[in-house]
Amino acid sequence: MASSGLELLLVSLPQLGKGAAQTLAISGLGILFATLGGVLYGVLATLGKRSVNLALRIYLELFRAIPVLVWLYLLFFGLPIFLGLSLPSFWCAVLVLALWGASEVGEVVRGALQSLPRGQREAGLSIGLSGWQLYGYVLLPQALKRMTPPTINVYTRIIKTSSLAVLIGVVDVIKVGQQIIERTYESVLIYGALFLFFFFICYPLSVASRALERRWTHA
Amino acid sequence: MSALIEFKGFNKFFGEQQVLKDVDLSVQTGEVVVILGPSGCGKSTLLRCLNGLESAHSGSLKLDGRELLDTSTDWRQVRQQVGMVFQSYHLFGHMTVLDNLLLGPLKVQKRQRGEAVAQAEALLARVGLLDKRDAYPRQLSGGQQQRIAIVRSLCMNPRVMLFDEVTAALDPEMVKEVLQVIQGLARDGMTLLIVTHEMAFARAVADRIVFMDAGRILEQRTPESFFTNPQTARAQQFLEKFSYVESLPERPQKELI
Repeated sequence: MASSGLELLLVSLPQLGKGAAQTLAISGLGILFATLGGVLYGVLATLGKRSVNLALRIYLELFRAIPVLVWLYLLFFGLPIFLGLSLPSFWCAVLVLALWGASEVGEVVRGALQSLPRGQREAGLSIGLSGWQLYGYVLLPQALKRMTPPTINVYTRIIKTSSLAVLIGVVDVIKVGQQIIERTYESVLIYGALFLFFFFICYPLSVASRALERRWTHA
Repeated sequence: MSALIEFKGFNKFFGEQQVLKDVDLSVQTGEVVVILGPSGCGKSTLLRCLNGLESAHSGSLKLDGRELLDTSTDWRQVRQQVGMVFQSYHLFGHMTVLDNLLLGPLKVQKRQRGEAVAQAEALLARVGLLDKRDAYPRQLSGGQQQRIAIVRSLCMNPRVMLFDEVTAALDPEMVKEVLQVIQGLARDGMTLLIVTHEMAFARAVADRIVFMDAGRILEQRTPESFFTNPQTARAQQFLEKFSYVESLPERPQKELI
């Protein structure tokens, strides 16, 4: 059993690897765009423009109140119907993760920016910095410390949530695992492998987040 | 000679509350004007209007003959000519002292690095802090940080410097080193607008005292005449409060403790 189990894993490895690549690609792109969008959200939210804040609020609440799964279905099945626009399931998953992640990262960035003393903004303005320069040279670099640990936690949630993409037909690592189980009934072995896969991607992130938090709270 | 700074019929509201009422104030090049008044009288707000951190509502404010309340005013240009120093220094904590000083000259004014560094180091030497050029603000005392903050503004080569209660957050021991720097600037003929509660300093450094209360300018006179012979009852009251400590008996009586 032990050797046949190991054999099965070895034989399945290329197939699992392909699924893992899909999972990592979706998560990675989702994280990338969530980060970019989140920083943009954070900056916009701290400009003090009422109309902008209202728009961001609506965006945030939509992604807080509606499950990610529903967003996946809405975009994957809804876009073709309502807009005649059909996205491949892969990009649909990336888009939803990015939008959802951006709302989460964005709130973190907003909080970090708002926690800076107001005088930093005024001191920057008073030497003639433009808005871009103010955020680029003064505010965001100082907010980075405060926002990195919670942002990394959002990243781990994006990676785990990427598994929902199975439901719109993406063949990710979990889907591959299920296919192998259907063929071989080795559920414990395969799910064990999936467990380790997610654990060893997310755990280092979580460790890094805590290490950074420790280091930066003492600095 | 036309004034460098000229407020005329200047009004400013926070919501419903009017914090500056019909302010008329002109400052000549090279003049040192100290603004006194009780907390909340609008003196800080007046300074903040001058570099666009607060926006005014009506009246006129001219810098070197140019109207600043026009919507077309480029505040980035104005702020390079109007240096501002704050009560709590507000140095950029993630940058070394030198980087704090160079940010404006390099990124805003696009000057040559070598020339900007030379100026920054010369000014650091002048305030006695050249050895701190590579330190971070958190490694410095309050007085040192405030002197750096003054240098940060000076590096922009402003035409006027605004000081907004710059010694109010400092330990008494450090007040002197900061005031000396400001006094040096005054001696060099720099135009200064100073909000402070240091009465002796105001008297020593000012060409003119402006006394404000409840958003209005009540008196504008030379320091000698203001401190010895204030004309309004409000100013008399204000000065009495400040002389309270000085006029305490040497050995306080029991009920005072």
